[in-house]
Amino acid sequence: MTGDPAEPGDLLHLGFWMLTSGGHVGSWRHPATRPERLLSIDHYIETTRLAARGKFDMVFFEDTLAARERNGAVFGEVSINSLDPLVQIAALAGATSDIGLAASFSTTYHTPRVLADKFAAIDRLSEGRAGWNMVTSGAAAGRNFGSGSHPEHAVRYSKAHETVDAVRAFWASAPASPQGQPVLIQAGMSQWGLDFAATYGEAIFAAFRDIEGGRAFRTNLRALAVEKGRPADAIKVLPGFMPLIGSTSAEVADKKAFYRALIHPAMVRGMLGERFNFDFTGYDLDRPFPLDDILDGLEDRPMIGGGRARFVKEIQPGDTIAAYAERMASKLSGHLTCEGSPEDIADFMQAWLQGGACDGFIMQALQIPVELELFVDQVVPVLQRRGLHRRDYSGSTLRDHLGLRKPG
Amino acid sequence: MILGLRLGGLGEGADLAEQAAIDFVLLGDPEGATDGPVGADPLSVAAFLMTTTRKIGLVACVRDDWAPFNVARALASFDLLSGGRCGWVALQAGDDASRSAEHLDVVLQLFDSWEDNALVFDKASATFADRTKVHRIRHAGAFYTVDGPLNAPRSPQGRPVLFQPIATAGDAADVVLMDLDDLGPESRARSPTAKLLAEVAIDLGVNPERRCAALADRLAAAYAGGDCDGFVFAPANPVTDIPLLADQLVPRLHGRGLAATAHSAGDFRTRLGLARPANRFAGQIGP
Repeated sequence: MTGDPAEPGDLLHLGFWMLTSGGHVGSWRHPATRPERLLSIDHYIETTRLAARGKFDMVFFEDTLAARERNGAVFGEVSINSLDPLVQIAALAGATSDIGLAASFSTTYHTPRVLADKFAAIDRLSEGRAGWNMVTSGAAAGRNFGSGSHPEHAVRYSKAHETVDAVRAFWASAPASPQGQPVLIQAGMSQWGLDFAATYGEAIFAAFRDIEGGRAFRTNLRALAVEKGRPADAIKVLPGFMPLIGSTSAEVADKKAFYRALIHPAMVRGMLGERFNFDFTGYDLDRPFPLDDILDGLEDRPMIGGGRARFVKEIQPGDTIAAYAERMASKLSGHLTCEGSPEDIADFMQAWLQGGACDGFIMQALQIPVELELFVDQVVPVLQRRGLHRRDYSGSTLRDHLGLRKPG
Repeated sequence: MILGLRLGGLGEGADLAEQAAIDFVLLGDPEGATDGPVGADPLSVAAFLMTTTRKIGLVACVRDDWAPFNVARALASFDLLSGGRCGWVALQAGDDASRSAEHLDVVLQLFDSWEDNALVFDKASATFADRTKVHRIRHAGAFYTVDGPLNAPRSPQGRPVLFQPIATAGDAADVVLMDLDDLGPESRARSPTAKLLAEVAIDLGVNPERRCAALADRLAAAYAGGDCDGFVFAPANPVTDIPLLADQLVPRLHGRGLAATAHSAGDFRTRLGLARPANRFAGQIGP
């Protein structure tokens, strides 16, 4: 089906989430990926220009302050995580135009002065295209920052409030860019995160299970913003999203199988090792999940993503290691997926937008550039025909693209 | 001789410096112990110039009141993405020289935490990196506790070129910066293996031809005497001085055969005549 055209102004806002070789963990093994290029700015310039050709509002880089590890050493079976995101978007400011340039940078391990200085500089260099995703850092970073213990969740968030207030005070004293100040982005759906988002957030990255969940979140957040004296439309909600595009159902099935095969068994063992801090080397992936082996001595092994109760709950009776791993891989990303033809993908995006469940999406591509190119060449024209996506940029700043006012 | 140019603001003039085959531009204030204005972060400006210029070396002042892991990650990223064009001036914030020395030590350790051949990229065996060639630094000092490894591989130049002001320069310095007026036979004593560059304030606006001629004579004499390996120009009025520098001063140095007329091949370190540093962890078994 093709849905009715949206009302004028009811446009999708699209961010492209720039992961080195793509959103799929096996994407670096894709035949089209040249891994050595993932360390060159040229790869990111080409990808950003491709996203700009698809009239995305922005590209976005995440920030990680520790190497991925499994079993006490680097997780060598997966791509390195993002290089310094601010070095990347500053470099992209010199090589791209129009498209917004956003990055995460931690309020836990950077001072307000550093944050203010860097983002204000990049906002000026890019002539008003910068966005800052305000994040607090995960526990893995603590060991690289001299703090014996990583700050508690509540402490990190109250520090984040102070930090953002201080950053904005610095910005008020700095030369303004054409958009006034960088756009403030936030991800995080806890009650703390919600209050923070309603206070400061202008674009919110979120993860939802279904349209109803998205609509409830967005309605609640807009009401909270109004309570805080902000207009409801001063916040754009962008759920994470990764499409799988195939022109027929056979093509979709083939593509799924193809990507599944890119996940080498060593990567499965590695991902489980990373999650449980347990060495799966030598375990047959088709044998029952070794829950007892893992629980044995669990308390002695610090790990990411939860503790005993959560893991016990996640393992289902009869699970093989492979079955659990596949479920984990799809759940951990937490993002919406949609499979089908370009029309199907457009239907999905339209239903979310017009169902009031989002203002757009922060999209990953399974592989960069192949799957992004497919989206730009095949899905974007459908969205444009339906009046859901801009045919060209109508402004020059990230605030213009997102429909946000200048602060102050 | 090595030639550098200090740029202000958002790096205006970098294109002219590149056309004049100046070896590097320097962002930020190498004497800056305190904060400059908000919104001119030298490292971000230098990163921006990575894509607006092609070959010229890019040197950013970085103060050590930013955590060593952040400093190492940003600089290694810069060097990787730019294909080996990154340099930095390590600046001490505050009075504590021992803290500052430990900060630099941690940054240099992190630069070595990945061995040169740690990246394998073998799709068949799903080996992106050889994990036996990535090492923790396990630093636990008086001021910093940093486990590592860095989440960026070793950079093209081994590590970005390290500049230090002469007052705080140590053994690790690749390039030492000092003022032209203070140059003397003893200037090299502090870091004997480093390149010594003298900062030259220039103000060419009035009678530029005569000034450039006199300055070229002075620089040629200092260089010929072996007092230093080159110069860093600090223009008083970048908008007017940089074009004059490029059009009138640098060609005089070219004419005397004192400076290269084009950027030679290789990374920034190679062009400065510096050796690639060894990796302290090379060959170590295990993380």
